[in-house]
Amino acid sequence: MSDTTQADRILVKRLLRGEEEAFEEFFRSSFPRLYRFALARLGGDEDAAEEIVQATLCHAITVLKTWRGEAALFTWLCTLCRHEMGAHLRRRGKERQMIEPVDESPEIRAALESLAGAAGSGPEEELRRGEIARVVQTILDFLPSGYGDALEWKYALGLSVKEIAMRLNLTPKAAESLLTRAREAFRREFAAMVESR
Amino acid sequence: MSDHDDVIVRLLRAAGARPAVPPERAGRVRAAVHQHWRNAVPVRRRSRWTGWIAVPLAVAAAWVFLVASGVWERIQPSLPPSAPVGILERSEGAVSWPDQASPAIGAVLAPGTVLETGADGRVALRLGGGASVRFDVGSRARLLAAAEVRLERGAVYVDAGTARGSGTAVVIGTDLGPVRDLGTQFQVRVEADAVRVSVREGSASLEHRGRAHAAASGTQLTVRGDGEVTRRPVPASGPEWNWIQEATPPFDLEGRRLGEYLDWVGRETGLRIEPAGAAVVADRLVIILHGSIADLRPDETLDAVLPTCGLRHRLVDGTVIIERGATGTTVED
Repeated sequence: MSDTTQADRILVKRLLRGEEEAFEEFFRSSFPRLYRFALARLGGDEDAAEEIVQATLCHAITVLKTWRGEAALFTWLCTLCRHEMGAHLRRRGKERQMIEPVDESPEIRAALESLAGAAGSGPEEELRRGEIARVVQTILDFLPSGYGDALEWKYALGLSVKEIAMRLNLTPKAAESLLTRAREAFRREFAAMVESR
Repeated sequence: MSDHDDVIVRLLRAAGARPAVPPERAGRVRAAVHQHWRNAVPVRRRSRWTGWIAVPLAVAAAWVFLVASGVWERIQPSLPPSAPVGILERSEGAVSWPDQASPAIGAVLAPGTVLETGADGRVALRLGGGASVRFDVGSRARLLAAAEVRLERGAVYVDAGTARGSGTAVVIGTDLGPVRDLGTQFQVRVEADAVRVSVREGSASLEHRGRAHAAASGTQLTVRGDGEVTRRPVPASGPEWNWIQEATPPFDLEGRRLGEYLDWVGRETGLRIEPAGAAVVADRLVIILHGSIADLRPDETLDAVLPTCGLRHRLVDGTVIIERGATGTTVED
């Protein structure tokens, strides 16, 4: 069993025991990622994303006991969210199709492989940079939340290791170690995504 | 760092931060999901309560217990068999309760309760429908139901923002007609032969002589006894609204995220809260606050809280700009 799944199991047990702190951890780690997951698939419809994510999380809590831990908790939430989105579109009489986000499109490989050429300033390069950004941000969302947050704080927001350590209530050495593991996890996910295309 | 790491770092820097979820959306969803979770599982609360932080939670617990179990009906046999209308959250200065002894903070209020505020008196209640209401100095009001108040004089402020799920609009009765909540934040002031409805957020409507007069956000509607109706712009913050902060129920800071706290300040003051830069946006989500801000007005708490987070603020034309940096507050008009 992976460390992530083990941590998820513990979190779910605490949620089912009714620990307020567990709820805060669950919501803080799940909601923003799930919201972005839904928003990307609903063509940027923020109201629909809010409604669907709320329904997903409420449904997840109702059936939490059925989560067996075969997949990471967030992956399971994404599955529930897909079902909610499908129901939402059916209720609307299939007026709109679910948007296929860039991380599921066949162009992803080309976009990623174009990284070396992303230093240009033309419209194509701008588009590629935008696509790459969305892919990278999606991978961050699918990493364990501590990893995604730490990488974002370090490289996107420019926080020091000391600041990250304070935010995670870790020693600087432990934070540095976590960043190393996070980079490795990101590299694996990135490689898997490219190779699967 | 390996070559692989170098590529990864370049990717991450090129991508930038993930887009933040609008705090108001996060707040709404969190409230709904939290309520669902509390209904679904037995909630184990923290074992140590101290000071004022315990008050609002104890009030909420008392409310849930009394209403849900029917104990309220059994221990108050002299009252009509109807639901309590609200809970007293704060009382400042001279406040009288003509028909009963002064209730304690957290007391459940029965239908028909009358309250009067003196020259320095203000009161905050949480109605059974969920709306927060505040009475200004010189007010007299009768609490009729969980979403209905009769205002005989003075002023009442209504924040129904947390009560939208109930589906019950708040109604403020006046001599010139009822004012209905069509939005979330407004105040009603009864004057000699006139009623003024000022809307901070959403909208409200005053029904007078069989006709509904709506007022949208940023509008003050005045209806006079002779039927004259006028409207003028009103800012979301400023002298018109300042009294509300004197009656704001305490905010439980301990363990809350910076973003939740800032949302509360924005809601209570009517000021727009704007983070300056992505780092402060991230701070909203990840900084957890500790301590107490009891006895401070919401606008005063910024000077107490932000420096502990390495942040400061500037007030520019109705907007509070939050930025990283050493302690200091500036006001720019």
